[in-house]
Amino acid sequence: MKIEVKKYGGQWIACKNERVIDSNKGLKKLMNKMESRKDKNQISYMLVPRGLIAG
Amino acid sequence: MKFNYTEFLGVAEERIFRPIIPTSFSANGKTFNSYSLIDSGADYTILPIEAAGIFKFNLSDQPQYRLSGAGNNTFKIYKSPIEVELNINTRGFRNIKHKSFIYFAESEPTTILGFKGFLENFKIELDGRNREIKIT
Repeated sequence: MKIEVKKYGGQWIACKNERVIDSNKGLKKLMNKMESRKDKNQISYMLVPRGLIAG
Repeated sequence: MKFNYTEFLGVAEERIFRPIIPTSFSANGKTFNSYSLIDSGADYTILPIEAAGIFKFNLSDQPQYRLSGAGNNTFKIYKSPIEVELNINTRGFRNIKHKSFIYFAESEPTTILGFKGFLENFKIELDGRNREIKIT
């Protein structure tokens, strides 16, 4: 999977088959958008870090 | 089971590869499918606090702790009220499951799989050269 930080940094993304299908700053809003899809159970979510991370 | 690293195109257009795996967290009859970062330097498994709402968790009465991150910044985490089942999602293999308490953070940049709740239960091999993650 390939994710663009410039485009998605700080946002939640919804992914299916290792492709980003939608994004939103709020997880709840994004999940609500996905709720009507027949494949909603196959969708995974990730909060994309804004930039480099260290831990 | 093996997974590939996830590629990020950084803000300066550089390519960054991170050990991220497909996971599901389940509790209270709800499941949250997520991609999670394996972080060998993290003490706990931590989800962004927004995810707590999916499981209908009320964290206001839960134990709170302060953690230090890189750069010595501190942030607050909340313990889950019940154990949460972590499922590592695989294609064509039997999924690996484990139940434990996890934590929710107000300022976590992504979902982190740390020692408690994840690393203590599995053997993880990070092959950065080939950008592969092996979990047994």
